[in-house]
Amino acid sequence: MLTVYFALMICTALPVIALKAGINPEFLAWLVFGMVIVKSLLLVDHFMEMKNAPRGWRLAAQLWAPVVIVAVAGFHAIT
Amino acid sequence: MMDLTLEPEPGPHQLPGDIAVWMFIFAELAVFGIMLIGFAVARSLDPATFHAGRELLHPWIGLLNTVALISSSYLVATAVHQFRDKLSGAQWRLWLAVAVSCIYTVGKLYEYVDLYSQGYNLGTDTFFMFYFFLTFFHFMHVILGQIVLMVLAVKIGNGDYDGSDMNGMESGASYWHMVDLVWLVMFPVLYVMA
Repeated sequence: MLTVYFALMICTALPVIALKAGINPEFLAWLVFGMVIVKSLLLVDHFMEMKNAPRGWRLAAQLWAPVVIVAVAGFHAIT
Repeated sequence: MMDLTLEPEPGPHQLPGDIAVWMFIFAELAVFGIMLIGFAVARSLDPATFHAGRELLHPWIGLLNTVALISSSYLVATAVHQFRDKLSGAQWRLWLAVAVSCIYTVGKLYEYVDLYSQGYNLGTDTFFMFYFFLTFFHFMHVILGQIVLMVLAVKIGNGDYDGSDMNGMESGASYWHMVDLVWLVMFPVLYVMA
């Protein structure tokens, strides 16, 4: 559980470190999107304990964040 | 040898908590998802307004709120484990989770007061309409989650829960993790991408 917590913290800090390092803003946006998907999967499986849930429920919980992020990223890309 | 006095983790094909709570959680996730996608659509139609609005936010407070909610979720998740294994410490972890999550509520209130004192509100423009509506809707969920966690902590203290039935504890924890999950998506969409 502690490992998952540290992984979530690293995924949160990584875009901030990248921003401080003067990374390209467009790349930063995609890095943030990727980190959010990783964090949501960790949270759903380990903190929510959905890794043991029935497959359909688990899939629905896991897919929420990626679906929203893909939609948001899609509109971001066409802007 | 397995200790038969311990309540096992939810086994394969077992939903943590009550199914009714999960129906509620998915309904909430659907609402938040639609609003976040609505935000992205509105932003694509008027990127200049959204960019100007984002410049007025406090990304460091947003980041601090993220750290607070993740830490709080971790404390709740470990409280569930402690409680399930009939170990002491579940109650103080829940109280600590509430205390840590107060960083979020204080940070959010500071942002609201700061923006409102500068003259920004729901009617300012499309960005602030979405910002205030989305974040305040989420803020109300955090408050409800804090109340749920406090009720769980008090019930554990009163001995109303003995760890043999994990339904209430897991349902409350799942709701709290949902609140955290929504913020994990909302923070970059509002504070980074806009």
